[in-house]
Amino acid sequence: MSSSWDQYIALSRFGYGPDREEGLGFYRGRPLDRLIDQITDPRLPKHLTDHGGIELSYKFLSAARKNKTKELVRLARKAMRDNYMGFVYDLFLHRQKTDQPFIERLCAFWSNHFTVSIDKPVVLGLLRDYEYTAIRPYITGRFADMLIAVASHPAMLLYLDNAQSFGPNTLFARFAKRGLNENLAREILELHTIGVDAGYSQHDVIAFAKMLTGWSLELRQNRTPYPKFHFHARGHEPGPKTLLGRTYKEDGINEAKAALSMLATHPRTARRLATKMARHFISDKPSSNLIMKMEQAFLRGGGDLFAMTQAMLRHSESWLQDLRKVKTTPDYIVSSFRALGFQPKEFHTVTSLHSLDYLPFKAPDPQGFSDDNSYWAAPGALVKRAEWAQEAAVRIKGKYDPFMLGKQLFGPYLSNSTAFALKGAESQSQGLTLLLMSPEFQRR
Amino acid sequence: MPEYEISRRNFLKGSLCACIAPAFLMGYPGLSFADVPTDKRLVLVFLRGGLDSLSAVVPYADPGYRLVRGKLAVSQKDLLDADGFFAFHNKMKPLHELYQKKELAVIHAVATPYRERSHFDAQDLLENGTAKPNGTDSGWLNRAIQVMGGRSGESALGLSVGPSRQAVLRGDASVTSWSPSYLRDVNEDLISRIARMYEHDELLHRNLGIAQENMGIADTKGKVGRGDRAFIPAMEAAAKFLVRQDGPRIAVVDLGGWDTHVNQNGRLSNLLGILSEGITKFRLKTPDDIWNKTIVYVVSEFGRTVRPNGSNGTDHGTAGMSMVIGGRIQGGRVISQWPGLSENKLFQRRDLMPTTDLRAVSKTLLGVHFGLSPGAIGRDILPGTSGLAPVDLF
Repeated sequence: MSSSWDQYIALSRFGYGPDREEGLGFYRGRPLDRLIDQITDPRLPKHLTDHGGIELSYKFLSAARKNKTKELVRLARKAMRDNYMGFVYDLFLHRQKTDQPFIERLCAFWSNHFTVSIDKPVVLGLLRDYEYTAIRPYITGRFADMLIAVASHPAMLLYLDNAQSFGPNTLFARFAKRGLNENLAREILELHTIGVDAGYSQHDVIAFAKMLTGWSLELRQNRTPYPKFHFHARGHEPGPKTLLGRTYKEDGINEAKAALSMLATHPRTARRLATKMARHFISDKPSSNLIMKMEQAFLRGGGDLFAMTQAMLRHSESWLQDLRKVKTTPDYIVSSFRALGFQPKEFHTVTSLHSLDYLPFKAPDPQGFSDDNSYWAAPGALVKRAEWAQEAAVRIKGKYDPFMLGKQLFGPYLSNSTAFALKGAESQSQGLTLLLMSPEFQRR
Repeated sequence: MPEYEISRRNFLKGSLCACIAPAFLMGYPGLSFADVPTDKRLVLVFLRGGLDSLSAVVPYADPGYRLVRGKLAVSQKDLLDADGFFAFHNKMKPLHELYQKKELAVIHAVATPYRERSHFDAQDLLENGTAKPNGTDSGWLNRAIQVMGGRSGESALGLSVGPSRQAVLRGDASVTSWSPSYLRDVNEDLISRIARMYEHDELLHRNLGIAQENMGIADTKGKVGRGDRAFIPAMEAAAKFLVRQDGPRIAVVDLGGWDTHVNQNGRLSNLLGILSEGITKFRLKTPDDIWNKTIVYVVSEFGRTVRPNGSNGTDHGTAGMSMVIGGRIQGGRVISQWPGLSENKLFQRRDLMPTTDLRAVSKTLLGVHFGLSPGAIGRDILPGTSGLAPVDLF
């Protein structure tokens, strides 16, 4: 019972839109089954996990720290930046080409949920490892596993300052002059799990921060070429701690693991994650029934992300023909490249993102990028999309009839007013600009 | 004229009919602004992340200051004295000069009614103007615009500078927005064609119309700052909008990055320098007669812990500071009922104790600067503030 409406929804709402060559053909057959196939058997693209860059950039960094010559500092900066831009390019190219586009959308969603930012330049070289070891393996697994992997990853430990948080009553605090830092503990409670109105207090934040003391990095640089997780038992605050009314006995690294597992399966967490995912994929205002179905699936499986994702896919609201979401900026760029059949170089990807004010892995704060339509379609942002679309359209070689391309890409979604605009365009490049600016293409 | 050209007025009204605009209207964006109900201006500068006020306007003569701040205490040689008790961080030299000209007042130990420590709730509460996070959907500056007579679909009295609209401007009164672009302009014809495709899409149609209003007003191309420094051209653009006779009256500009949990001294000096440069740029671009009708109001969602944390930084605190800057204020003063820094004087034994409600400052600006009635302020704009004494700023 597949229609071309459903094919377009599967492509655009749950992926990066139709490709110029394939049109709607990618989801020929049963779009829903094909989406569920993807989450049943997600693949980790091997070519993206290359670690060469990370060792190199930290080698230069530690050399530059020991010996602050201009040349070494320049090399370290360059290696870090190359590593970051190379990763961004690989990632965006993969989104454009993959045969599992829904998996990429899920990865992007979870990676944004657990935002780390290059505002702290030290995380630049760690992004690739973060995404491939802490996020990707878990997108259809247990949320607790993802949460623990994230909280113990150097990128997050550095971004939210836990790498330097040590128990006030420990040897570490006395000799290294480092004490408690509550940043990570607070943001896990507030942003990653139960949410700010879950009724916890400052005492809970401090108790949880104490449980997380010692979750830090290998500090002996000769042991590792780049930052790696290490639990420092002698920096871990001793004694029992009470979080949300439950007391955890002193148990080293296992204290925070137990607390994270509890938070990951908390009903408040279920509600927040279900709401957030529905708002990301389906609508700024998803129905309470959709949220409830997703939340229940999550809880029944003890924090099961596969079940929650599947519940969203199987809900009728997810297949409403109304295009309720505005594309995010990165998705707008990838879907434009697909629609135009454009093969970007690293330069194109990076400057496109920059000129549309979207810097990957540089969200303004630990909340990550917004899921609101009003954020992505703000007045200034829309004009920039038009300016960018105009640049992209003139770079397309070969002859295309914008109206025919519109029919091929949008299928039944091509509206009369868009068809009229495409037919009346004064040039091919203006027509292609209009195609990228059409409501059918701005929305999903 | 091609039949798809639409006048800007009609974009704003969300009209579905593609009216043909008189040719003289096109290309004169100024004409589309209606009479503006006030000639007073306000720029809200929002320092997001929680400014460490004890490092910006430093209570250096408080006997507890060096003791409690330890390594984070600003050294004497980096201070510019204000009144024998407080001193400005030397990166704020231009602001110190405004202070000496009596055009800048500091309100210290000030806080919103928020007493928890989440950035996002604290910002939301400051922006919605109630005493609760998510207390209402609209922002207090939008409601102030409505009280002044700005309405949905009419000329925008509000201006959001930056990539997305700040919550303090959210609401029914129309608000325009501007952010810098690195790209080649699109022409009027292309925008009209796009607008026509959006006739049945309320959100896209409205926002494109707003964007079109702004094209050409603030041309700061080639001067786009990167990262935090983007604040400086943003302030310049705000000035260009606000000096227009028929332009917006209330602008909001963000400067983020104040959440200094780790090794804060370097980052903080950098940001204080950028803040000062941006405000200086705004002042330079504002002619004196307009400057006398303008207030720059600097706020942050909360202060930071009085003691350093374990990483030479500070964690989320409670009271902080605010600044009010303008040509016609009684400046040159640090207004504060200083609570002191000894442990028993701190809020929850960790944060600077709030002694002034930030809404009292906001209320004073609305009442004295804009001349809005106490009833409207206490009922519609900042509910629950009728009992707050105004702050002696004018």
